[in-house]
Amino acid sequence: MVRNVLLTVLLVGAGGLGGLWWARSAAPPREVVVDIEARRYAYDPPVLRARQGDVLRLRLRSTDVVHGFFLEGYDLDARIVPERPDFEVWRPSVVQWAEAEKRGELPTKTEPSVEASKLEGVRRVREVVLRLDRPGKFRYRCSHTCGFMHPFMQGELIVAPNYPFHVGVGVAIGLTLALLTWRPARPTRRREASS
Amino acid sequence: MSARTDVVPTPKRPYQKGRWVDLFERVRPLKGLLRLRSFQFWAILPNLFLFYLFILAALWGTPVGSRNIMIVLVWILWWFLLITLLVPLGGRLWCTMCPLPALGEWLQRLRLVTVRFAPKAKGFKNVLFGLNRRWPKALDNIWLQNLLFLTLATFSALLVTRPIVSAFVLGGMIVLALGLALVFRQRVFCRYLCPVSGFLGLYAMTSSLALRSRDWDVCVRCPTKGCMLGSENGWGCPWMVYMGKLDRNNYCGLCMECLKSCPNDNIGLFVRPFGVTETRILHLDEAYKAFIMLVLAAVYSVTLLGPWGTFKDWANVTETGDWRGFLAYATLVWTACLVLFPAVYALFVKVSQWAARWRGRWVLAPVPAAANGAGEPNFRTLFLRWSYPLVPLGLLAWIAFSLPLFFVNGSYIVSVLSDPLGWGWNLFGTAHTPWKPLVPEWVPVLQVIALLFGLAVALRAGESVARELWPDPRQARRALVPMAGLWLAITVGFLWLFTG
Amino acid sequence: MRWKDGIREGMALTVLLLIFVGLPWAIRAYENGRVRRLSDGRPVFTLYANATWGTWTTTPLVGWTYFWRKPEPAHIRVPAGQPFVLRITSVDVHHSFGIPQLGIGPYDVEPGRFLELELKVDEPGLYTFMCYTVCGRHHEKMMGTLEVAEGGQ
Repeated sequence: MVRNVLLTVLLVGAGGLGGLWWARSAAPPREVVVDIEARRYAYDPPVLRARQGDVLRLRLRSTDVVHGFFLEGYDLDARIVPERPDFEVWRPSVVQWAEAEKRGELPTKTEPSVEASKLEGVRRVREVVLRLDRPGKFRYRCSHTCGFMHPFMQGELIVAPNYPFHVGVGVAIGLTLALLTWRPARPTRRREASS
Repeated sequence: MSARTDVVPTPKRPYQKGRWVDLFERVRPLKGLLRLRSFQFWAILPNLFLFYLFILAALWGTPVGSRNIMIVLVWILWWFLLITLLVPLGGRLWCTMCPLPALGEWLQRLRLVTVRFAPKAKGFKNVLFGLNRRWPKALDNIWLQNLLFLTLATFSALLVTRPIVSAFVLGGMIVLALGLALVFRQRVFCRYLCPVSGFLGLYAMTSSLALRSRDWDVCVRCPTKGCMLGSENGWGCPWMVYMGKLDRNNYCGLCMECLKSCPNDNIGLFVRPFGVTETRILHLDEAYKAFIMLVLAAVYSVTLLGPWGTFKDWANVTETGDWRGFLAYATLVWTACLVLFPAVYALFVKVSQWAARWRGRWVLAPVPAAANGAGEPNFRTLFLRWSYPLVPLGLLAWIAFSLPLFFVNGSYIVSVLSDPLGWGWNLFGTAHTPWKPLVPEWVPVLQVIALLFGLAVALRAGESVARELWPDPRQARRALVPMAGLWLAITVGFLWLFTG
Repeated sequence: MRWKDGIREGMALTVLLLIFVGLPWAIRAYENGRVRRLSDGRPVFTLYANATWGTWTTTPLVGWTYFWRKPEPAHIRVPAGQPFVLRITSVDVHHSFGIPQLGIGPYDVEPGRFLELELKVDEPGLYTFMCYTVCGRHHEKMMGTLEVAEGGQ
């Protein structure tokens, strides 16, 4: 029994560490301009892959109705109105655009660019600059009801190193190997399995 | 090489003293509570009230899903609680309090809380209103439930986003249950038709709660068999279960009638560790249910939670009008569930059978007869036995799928409680609570944990299956390798879908 | 059936009937009371904005009517100088309500939420209200009329 547990811990640990090693990347950070187009009910591009340290210049556009853009992990929210070259963006996401509208605090001028980390309140911009300091998988979702499939309208921003995925796969392999080396505690005479 | 018949070990004592917790011993008032005649009525009543409210809201409330209590409370709250808490811990506990068959059952019994008893009747001792027909033997399986669930799943994008569609489906189930209750005896809808019941029964196999007879010897000697035939204190089991042989959770709906009708006080409610490995899938319909549910977990994750618009457009057919895309989507889903995945599984079971027979140096020799004289298990037995580990694997995959539904959209629950119909109400002051996902960036981590837990339980269950099929531990190990490899691949696939 | 059983059945049946009859009644009564309190003696008009047909309509678009009832574009009549309440909601996407000739709006109309405007128009005339946020194919045609008649009519 002790052998089994020890071996399991060893294999699972090895799997996890293997995952960590697999996730590493040594490429230098880049700056990329990304044009994201929102339509009912998906974003184009649906998946963005980047590395930790990269800088994304996001330009948001809508082709049909009002959409939102809520980015997990960065607590960034935006409102994209169709047929406009700019969009409203704010942080933290709970600063609701509607509340700002009620108080008459909506921006009247369009700024060319704003950095997400320095954002406060609602601003109208042509581009928002996102510094990807957090690794992982973050989905961007529509935050303004745009129709029936609105709750399922989402895209993915994957910032390497994506530890949960790689460590998860490593641990899964470790678990499987651990089972295959598992030795039963007693010989197979205990077959009176009852449920 | 003789084929061994498909025999499930039948113990005399279905529960394991010491490893199972006897709830009636630990929680004294529980037995009295569950033996109340009105117990199930009061359990069902709040849900009946809620479902009534949901249907009214779906018909006369706003068509906007996120502001209508039908969508938010059913497809976000109820679904999440069901799959993450109620099923793993309580098995079929939802069936105890489900309002859908209630009207039909009360009409069939012509009673809400009391019992109708005919002491002189032969066989079934309770009096039921209606045609009282027996369910046809050919349909005494869950194939209908498999097909109905697949049908619902094909239209799931419409079902979970339009309140009126949910109203028609739930209302339709109530009407169907009502009609069936007047034609057939007992809970035929629940046992053979309800799509929810289909997967509840499958996943209840792994869950902690178990209602069992304490001692089968007492059941054998019982003169009245009140649990099945009914007595003056309780209705005969509406799920058509005989407690003297029940050793799986699949078809016991936890209605607690047998607690009242058993003349020997021989029924107990037990709690065992989650992730039961000793239970087995016995028939092909159950194995197919396991396949269908696992593939659908992937389908839902791709269609609803994936970033790809094409699948959503195909599934959202009434809005896009793309019937060709929908047909492609439906064909893909049905073939994957009914043909492709079972075929892949059968292939792996075959490889596993060869691996077990392998005697080194690429010689496949028949296995010598085991100590008890039985030969090698036939392919059908192998196929059914090996399909059980897909049950915990599938359940945890569904839990992983359901986590984002709650964490991302759970804030709608708070606002919809104040404005259930979307009429501009503000009953509790929370109607204007903004949509705010709850730590959504941590959901992938939770999903990884759920999937790994599912894999761990599946591997343990697989080990139990292997040791039972192959007494020689080296053979069992060899047989396990391909299957474990497949379960690992499935887990990695889900890991990639959710977090990759 | 023993009389004790009869009492139990009777109680259970009463509770059931209370729910079946009481719930719709309570919903109706609460809504009527709320609208009465909101109106405070003034006429109340409810506008449903929808993108499928591109209309502002007073025809209620609810769960079971949204898909097959073709709504009529709204035409609201009020006497000049009479305060009135406009409740505006959207049944699908974000719209924007405004009456340009009166300098009202544009205000965002959120799906499932109500925008409540308390208005009073002194000048008689025919005013058009429009949608200011692109909401679909019929966005340009999305208009309704507010007819303000001579005082006292």
